[in-house]
Amino acid sequence: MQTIARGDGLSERAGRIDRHPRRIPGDPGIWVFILLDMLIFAEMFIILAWYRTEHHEVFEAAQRLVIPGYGLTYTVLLLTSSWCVVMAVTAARKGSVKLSSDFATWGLALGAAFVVIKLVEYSTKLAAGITPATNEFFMFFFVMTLVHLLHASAGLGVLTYMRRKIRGLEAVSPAPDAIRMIETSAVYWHMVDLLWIVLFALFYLES
Amino acid sequence: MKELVYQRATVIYAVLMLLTLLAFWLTAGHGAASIREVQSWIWPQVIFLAFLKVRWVLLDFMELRSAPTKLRAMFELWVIGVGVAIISMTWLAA
Repeated sequence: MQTIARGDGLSERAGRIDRHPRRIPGDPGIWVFILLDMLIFAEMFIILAWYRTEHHEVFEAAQRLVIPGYGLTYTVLLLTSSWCVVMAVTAARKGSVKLSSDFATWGLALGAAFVVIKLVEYSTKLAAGITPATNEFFMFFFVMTLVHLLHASAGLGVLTYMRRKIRGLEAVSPAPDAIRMIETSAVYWHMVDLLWIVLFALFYLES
Repeated sequence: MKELVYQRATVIYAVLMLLTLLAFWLTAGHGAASIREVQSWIWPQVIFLAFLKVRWVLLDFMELRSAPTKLRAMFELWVIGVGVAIISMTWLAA
């Protein structure tokens, strides 16, 4: 179906005016990165699920050593952080720079809390003698959550950059390029959140 | 502030939190045992809830709901493909 772009921001599809034209949030390049990253994680998720199928008893026994409360805490932190980032993006688009910056700060703080608590969890596991060499479950546990933690740590840098872009909005008006970079940062952070949602179910919720 | 918070994403956030607590209650909270649920069904349900949450994050937080159809379809396929693969494997294990 042919879509005709119009100068007034609307698009016309087969003679019908679409008042909500479809748009790509952020920079299109971030979506290529996100899709590739999610495919790599998909491969890891499926290999883990296959391992669980093959070694069900070992998996269940090892999973009892994981404290579900940690997983719940991380999920609440990341979901709330993601919501703060959604609010920050919406406020930035409306030109509420102070509010947007405050929400970005909360998103960043909750993300930092995730990273710190994850490191505490690793140290308690290692102190209890549980390492990636303990069994295959913990090899998957440490490798996959560590890869995710690296994404989250990079995300803290991304959110810091996003907050700087938000604070810079006062100087430039309108600033579609800055808004696009804010959206790009937000999309990355939400990916960190969604990958965690799957990791939480796979590792922390007893089967 | 009110105008900002009163939006679809906030409702989705509340639903995501509720689903998280439900999945936690079913498993770690032994909620499934209290409702005499068949044990082999619990994990597939927890995985299903996880991928439902992932879809909402994609559509409403990452704004794919209003993105070009092809872009949205790629990520919808990811959710369905990975979700179905994991759930079907949990049935093999049961």
